[in-house]
Amino acid sequence: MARPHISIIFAAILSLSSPWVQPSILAAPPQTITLRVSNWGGPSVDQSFMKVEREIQLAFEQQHPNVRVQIENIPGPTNQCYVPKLLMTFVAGNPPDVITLDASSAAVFINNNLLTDLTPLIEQDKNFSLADFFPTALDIARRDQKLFAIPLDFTPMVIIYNRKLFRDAGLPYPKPGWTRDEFLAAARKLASQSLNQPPQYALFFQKEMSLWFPWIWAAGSDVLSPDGKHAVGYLDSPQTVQTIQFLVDLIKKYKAANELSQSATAGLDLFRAGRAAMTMTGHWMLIEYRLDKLDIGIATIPIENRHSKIGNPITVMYEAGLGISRSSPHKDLAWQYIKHMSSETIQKKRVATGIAISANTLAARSFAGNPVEDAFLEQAKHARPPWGARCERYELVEDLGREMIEDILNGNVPVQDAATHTARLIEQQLARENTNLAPYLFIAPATLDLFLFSFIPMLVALYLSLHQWHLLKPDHPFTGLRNYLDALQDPFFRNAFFNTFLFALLSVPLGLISSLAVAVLVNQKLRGVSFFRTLYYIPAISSGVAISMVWIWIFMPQDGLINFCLRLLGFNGNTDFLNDTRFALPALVLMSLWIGLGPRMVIFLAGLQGIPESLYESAALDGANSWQQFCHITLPMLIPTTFFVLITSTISAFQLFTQVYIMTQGGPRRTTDVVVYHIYKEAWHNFQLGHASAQSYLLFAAILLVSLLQFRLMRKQLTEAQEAWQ
Amino acid sequence: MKEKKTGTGTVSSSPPTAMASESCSRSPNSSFILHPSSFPLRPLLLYTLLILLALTTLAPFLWMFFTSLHPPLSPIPTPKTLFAPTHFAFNNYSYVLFFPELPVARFALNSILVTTAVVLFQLTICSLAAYAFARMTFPGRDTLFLIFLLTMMIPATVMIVPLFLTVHHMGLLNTYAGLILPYPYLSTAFGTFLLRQFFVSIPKSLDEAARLDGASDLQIYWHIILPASKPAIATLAAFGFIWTWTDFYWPMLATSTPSMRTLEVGLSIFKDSYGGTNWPLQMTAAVIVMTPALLFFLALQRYFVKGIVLTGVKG
Repeated sequence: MARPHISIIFAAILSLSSPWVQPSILAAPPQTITLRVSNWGGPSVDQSFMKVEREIQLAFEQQHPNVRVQIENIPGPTNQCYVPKLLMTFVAGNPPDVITLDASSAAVFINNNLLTDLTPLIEQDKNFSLADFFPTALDIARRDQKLFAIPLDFTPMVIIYNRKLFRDAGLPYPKPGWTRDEFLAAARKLASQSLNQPPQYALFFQKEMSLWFPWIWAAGSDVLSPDGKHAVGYLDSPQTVQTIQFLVDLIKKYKAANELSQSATAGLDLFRAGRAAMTMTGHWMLIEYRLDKLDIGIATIPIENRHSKIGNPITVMYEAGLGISRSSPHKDLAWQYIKHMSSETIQKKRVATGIAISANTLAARSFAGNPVEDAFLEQAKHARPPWGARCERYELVEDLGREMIEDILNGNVPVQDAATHTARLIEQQLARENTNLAPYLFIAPATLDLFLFSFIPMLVALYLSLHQWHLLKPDHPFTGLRNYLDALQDPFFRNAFFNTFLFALLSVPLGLISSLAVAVLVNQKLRGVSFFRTLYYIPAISSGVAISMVWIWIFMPQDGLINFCLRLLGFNGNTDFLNDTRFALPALVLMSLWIGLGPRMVIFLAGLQGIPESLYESAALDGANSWQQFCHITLPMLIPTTFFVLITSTISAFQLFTQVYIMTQGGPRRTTDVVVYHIYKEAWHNFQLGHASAQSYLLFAAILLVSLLQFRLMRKQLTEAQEAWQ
Repeated sequence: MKEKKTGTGTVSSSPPTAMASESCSRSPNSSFILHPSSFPLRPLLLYTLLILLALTTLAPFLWMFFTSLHPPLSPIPTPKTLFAPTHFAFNNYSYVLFFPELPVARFALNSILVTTAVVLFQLTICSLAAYAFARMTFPGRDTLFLIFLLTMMIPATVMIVPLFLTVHHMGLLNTYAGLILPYPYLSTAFGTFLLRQFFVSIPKSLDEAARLDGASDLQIYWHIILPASKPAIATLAAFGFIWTWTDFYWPMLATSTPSMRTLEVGLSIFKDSYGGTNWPLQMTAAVIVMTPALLFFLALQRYFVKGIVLTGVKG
């Protein structure tokens, strides 16, 4: 949170050569205090508006005789000029005292801790009440208990329509809450194309995202996730795509809105020119429309249909407010200025110009009764702050959103494709922006360890596998894939593979069934059952070598445990299990069941304990017996667990080694010669490192393949189980 | 009837109808084995099963222990002679522990040092990586995580030759670093996976609250995530301890002088000395090696199931 924004650092470098911040200091007369106020925009074309602005500043200076208010206007679009230049003054350590915040770029100032928390000033001031302000507007600069700006004025984005063009087309004026179908029906009548005249449009469409994305909010969807960190699943969601498609159809299919080549960026406002019946914009344009003497009405953004879940179309609220820079030496004076600017009298005067709706409810109320103002106020109830008020990097979304519309309209890219692509781009960029070095530092030690002792050995093995590499011979000629082909043709290696598969085929299913049965057993509510759980785990913690020795005794012909038991039961009982080609591999399977029981049991137990008790209760009420409950509840609910056990025990079955090494050394007659043991002998007995490495890679490929196959086969059950869990 | 189906765990508070009291008396999640009313001997049968299974599990260890009490060089015990050796040779233990030719104390010290270092090192690097994978967004995260998982599919035994060559080229053979550092290679991916699954299950609201108070990632990791992850950390510590303590091949390959050997390797000399397997002494050594691992496991076992339940391997 306290991380400096990257653009601040960039601005710091620029500001070293920037003379921009200097004159204001020099210009201050010694005995008077200069209160510096930042604002965007330059001298307006509307002289009366500028006159009001000057009067407002003068009124403040009259109340505070030794203070001079210096408005530092930064012309140009706010996100391109105002924000970077203002940030530069912060970096230079010389920001204005009062900062005018644009809601759509407020996040960068608030989140980077550049502003003063106003709550202490508000609490001390008895002549000021937050209750006088629209709560939504206040919330824009609120973070938990802290408030960083007092709102001055705001506007929701609305559809403004030309009443004359509606009358000419014989259409009724749009009703609040109209639907897209009603909008489309009207639009098709409003649009006309004729050879001799320039085309007439229903809607003036502009590519700037801020001027079309309210359609998406009105439809109940969004472009970013609620936390502002993800675009995938939002910008490319079906509802969002459907909304964009609607706008695109309006342009391409119905010719009811203009192509981009005719939009304002080409220097032409079709609405003001009377060639488009509707436009999406905010309150500030009313100043211009008044000059044009347009007969206008205010409509809501069409909603998807009457049955859509949202009762009222949600739109965006753009807002301006005042905050105090953190390092300002005149905080109390700055507060007086903010109070002055947001007071009822000043607000009335300023809002009378038509610029916006006052955030001061007392001032706003005095404009009630005017149908246009009432319509704006009504829509303001359903307006939300823009993304830029919370998400520092929203400018990026707006840039890419504009490019997306250009791709769709000018490049004829299908909407879904463009949205998917753009959402991914934004996702990537947002992740990058949120990233500092920290995550990489966190994973560095583990990655380095894996790199040094896993990847490098793997690469070494890959290199060895391509050479004829005898450990003790000096030359290692390159042989390409010959080691691999050799291995595949080697009957002994194929035999080893066969044995490994056979071992897995026997030990994996038996292991699953036995450990599940034991897990169910130790999941019974019985006194002392946890003692047994611990007991059953002990084989897994024993040393592989020592325990293999013990099992040699168990399988011994004369006095071994199994033969002893068989004799007790009246059998012949003199089988040399480990030296009998029929029994050697099954003997190893039996031992692996014994060793693997504990870990598998614990995992199944975890799965069993995760099954909601209520399922059994309702099944019992339906009269299901215990066995039916096991088949219809326990087994299906355990599918994810079973999958995990299946994959892990298959992998460990393919990695069988120690038992073979100690107990059978691959015998008798190679019936227990499994792949890992084969590779071990190839490397340490025959010193053929090239062969051994190639065989290792073949084994790895086999394990990967089998795992993927299992995943494919169980995918259906897994998805079904996942749905059941939900 | 209807409410009961939808409610979770409300049976005990519902009116004591015949059905309800029946399901009351049953244990949670135990529903499938043998209904109490239909089978009155159920506990008896279950205990019989449990004890039989316990005997199967323990028999090899009993044999191991009693064999270790036979006099050295006596023949391999049969089920009849197992519990009745010519005499109980308790001094096998002192004989192995103070064997003049073998620095057993040094082996034990090496084992303790290497195992402790491996467990601490592994817990540190795995938990750091797991925190990043669970709680941070960064480019390449999912790909990296997948690569971590893929390395779990390579059999350690198979990679031991190239690993040996690599460590040899680093000049780390027969050093503690060479014994300790490559170890987690056998389990770094597994440990990261295990801890990540657990970290994901910790409510995010905890760290968000701390973040608002200005806590850094490192502070959240240390003060919030780690204390909340005791079961998972105990599970991984137990796994790491057992694997390292009982491992044979890596210390055998990576060390060349007796002073660097661990217990498992050092005491394996009893396997083949005196021209054949000296069963009693071999088993004495095995019991000596296994006891610390067993104690470590028993100390941490109460976290075990909890650790695995909460790591969400169940899906």
